[in-house]
Amino acid sequence: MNTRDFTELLKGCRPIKDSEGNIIVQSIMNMQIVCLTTDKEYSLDTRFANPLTSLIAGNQNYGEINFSNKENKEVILPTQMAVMTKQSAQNHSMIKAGYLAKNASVTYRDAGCVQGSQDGHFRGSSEFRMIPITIREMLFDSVGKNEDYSRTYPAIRKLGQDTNSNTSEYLDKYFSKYEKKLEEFIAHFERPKNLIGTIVLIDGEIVAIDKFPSFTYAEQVWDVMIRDCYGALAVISELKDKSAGQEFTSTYNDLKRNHNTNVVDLLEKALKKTKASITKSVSDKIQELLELTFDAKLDSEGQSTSTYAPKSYILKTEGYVGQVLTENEFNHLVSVVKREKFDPNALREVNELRTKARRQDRFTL
Amino acid sequence: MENLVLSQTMVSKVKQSLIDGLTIASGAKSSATYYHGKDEQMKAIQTQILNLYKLSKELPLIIASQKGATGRFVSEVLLNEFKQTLKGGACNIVNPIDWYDNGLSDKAVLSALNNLGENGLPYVLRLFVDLKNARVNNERTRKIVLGFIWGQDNLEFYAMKYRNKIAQILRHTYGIKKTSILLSIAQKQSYTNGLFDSDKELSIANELILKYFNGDSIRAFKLLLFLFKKNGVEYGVNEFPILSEYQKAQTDITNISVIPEEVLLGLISSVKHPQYHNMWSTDIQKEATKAMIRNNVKVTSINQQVRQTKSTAKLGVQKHVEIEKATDFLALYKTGYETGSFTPTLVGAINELAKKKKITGFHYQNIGIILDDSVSMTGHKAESKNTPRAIADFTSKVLTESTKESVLVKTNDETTDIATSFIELLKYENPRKAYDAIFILTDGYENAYDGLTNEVISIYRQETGNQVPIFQISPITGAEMGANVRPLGQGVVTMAINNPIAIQPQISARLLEIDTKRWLENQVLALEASPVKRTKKNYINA
Repeated sequence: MNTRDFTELLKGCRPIKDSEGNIIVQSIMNMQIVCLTTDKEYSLDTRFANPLTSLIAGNQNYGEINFSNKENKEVILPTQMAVMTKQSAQNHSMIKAGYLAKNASVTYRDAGCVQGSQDGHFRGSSEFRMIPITIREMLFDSVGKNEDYSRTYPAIRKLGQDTNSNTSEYLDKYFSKYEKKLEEFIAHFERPKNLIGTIVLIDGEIVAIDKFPSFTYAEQVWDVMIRDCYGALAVISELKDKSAGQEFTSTYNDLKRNHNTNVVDLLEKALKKTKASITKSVSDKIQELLELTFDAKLDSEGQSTSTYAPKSYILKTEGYVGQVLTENEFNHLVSVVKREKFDPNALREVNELRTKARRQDRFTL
Repeated sequence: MENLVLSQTMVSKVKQSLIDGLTIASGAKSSATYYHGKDEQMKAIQTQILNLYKLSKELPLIIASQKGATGRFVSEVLLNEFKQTLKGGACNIVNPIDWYDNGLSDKAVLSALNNLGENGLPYVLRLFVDLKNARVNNERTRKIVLGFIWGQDNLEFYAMKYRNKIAQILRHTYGIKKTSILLSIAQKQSYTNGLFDSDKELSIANELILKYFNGDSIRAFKLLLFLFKKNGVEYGVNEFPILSEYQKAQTDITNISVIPEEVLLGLISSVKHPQYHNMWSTDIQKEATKAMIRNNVKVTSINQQVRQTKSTAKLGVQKHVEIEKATDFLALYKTGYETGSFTPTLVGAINELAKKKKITGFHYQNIGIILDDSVSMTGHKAESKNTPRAIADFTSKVLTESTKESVLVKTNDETTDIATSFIELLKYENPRKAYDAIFILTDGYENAYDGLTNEVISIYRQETGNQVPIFQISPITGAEMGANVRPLGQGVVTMAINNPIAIQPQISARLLEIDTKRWLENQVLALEASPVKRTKKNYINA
């Protein structure tokens, strides 16, 4: 087992900022998204095919998915993609991301069923969706474990509880119930040009980080990621009646007490201050993660054994779990989520102590 | 017209319904939007129309007669009206005597139909086909359909271009039996040089065709025979210049200039066409044939030629397009987006068109405009790419041309940050001459953060006491809003538009909030004064 620093996982990436240097934070209710970009040379736009259109999925046994790559380009399978088919067959989900060589066919035997007692196997399907981010943790935890096709059921049940969707072990019930809401959710976020990754925050705490192989790849999966993956966070927030709060109004009222300038200037100051405050808050949260070091365990099930193919590692550290697909120290895809029960304040205390320790002088007489 | 019968208790109900109805009529299209599927969008439009109809049957028609109403909205209103029959529904605004007996109902339907026709003949034909699908064929509908089709000035061209569709409509309207009788009479006519065998035949011909048709019976029957693909009819070059060339094109498509490109492509792509094997059986032949047709055809409209810019270049055809004569702003913008270059000529044509489309007598003369240039305005795969952006950009130009003074600010970051642009706009305001209105052209989905603009506007109004009207104009409607616009905040007037022409009627509509009854009275008087008739020859009382 080796280790990976957070800073290394996201090397080359940086948050997208506005013309005044503020990190652009897109918000809805209590959810925020920070988009990451990179230099053009680190975006491998021509190397990988579109994962949503180049693959055909089928299976012959429960708990496995076979992907055939029909393109003469390699494919990076997005994190935890599900086959939700209209065929009379059991829907399945991946529990991780993967890699397929050009025109290759790969079977992952650590997939899970997501449709209760439905029987039947699918073939020739390209009906893909993403697993909601709120159950990513449970699926990542299942990687490398000797479990059968039912490994995904506890996660689906949890999703049903969190979203009041009475899913039991049927993921399609969740999507059916919230289809329209999730579709509308896409419109709330804008995909910036040259997007390479995202950082998602809920209630001001980072809950997910994704880094994609290229700008093109990010464009291809954006709508699906927002709708299927991150959408669950908004559904849950709405159920909890969370809102964004009126940060601008309170900032304006604070400024008004100390300034005697015209209204427009004051509005401008208040807006700048609001944005700077949001930027600082997000920067602080990202800063905290920079100290993280993950244990990285090689994941071999279904992954290519070729020396030259990207390798998959499952990442774990206190409070976070994820995966990286890496090749010669170049990270194609990174996917990290915060463990639900983890309180980042604990990490804050550790970091504070660590910082203090660094400041201390070595013992001397 | 007698006074309106609208009661005071109805006024408040009618007011909001009218405002909502006008917004939907001006913005909601049948196609899918960035956010919603086609079915959802259609369902939202139909629900709104039914609600209006339930309130009072005149309301949907009044709205459908407004300039700027979308083709889909008008079409749905008319379909609903025809389905309900003449006496269906309650008449709660206009005195029923005026509506039914004094012909107001007819004028309202025909005004809406003409309005639909201004979107293009295909819209009307689609409505008539929808009537067939909905099995609607009552007497009033029948007469209106026949009056419209046989009353077309350029029926020869339309018969050739929309042959199957018109035949389908006529077959439904006449019924199979009467169609057969008419075709039999028509075939005899071509041999008897316009003489009828009997008075009965003359009476049938008069009742079903001739009273609607501007021309002699031989011409009408020859057109009918063409529509129903009856062979053996000669179409002389002088009498039927288009149909005679069409007949020629059935065996030879070279040197054809007055038949539309798509019709020629339809002919040559049939394996039965004698030139198929020489001109269409391989990809190389197809490209060469397409290029030849593109070069020869002279009846392609300027707007279509503009839309074909990219494909014309791909075909290697050198064709001068008088771009400055284009009247479809979307065609111009799409050319720019598709070719990836807004050349000075193209930008000049857009600017000239904006000048031509300026709103005369616009209510406001010193305005601020915020143009949302964010990524979501480029549209979605379910929607024509870049359409929202093109509508918003052109609208900003038309607004600028329609006013004496204007200031334009564009959002310039990756997200929809209207709040920053709003403050920027306020900073550019002339301190001695305040804006008399602010227009925000956006889809309404701000995300830095959701509700921020509302906070900024609220504080601005509260602190300054300035109640300048703020209009949010959206090129996209949302089915979750009942095909209405997603509002940026309280006190912001929302409008959905698909064309700047819809702005003025919508602003006028806001005035109905002040005096709903007067506004309605004006609309009904305008309907009464409209010079519309079911036929160009006779007035028919159904």
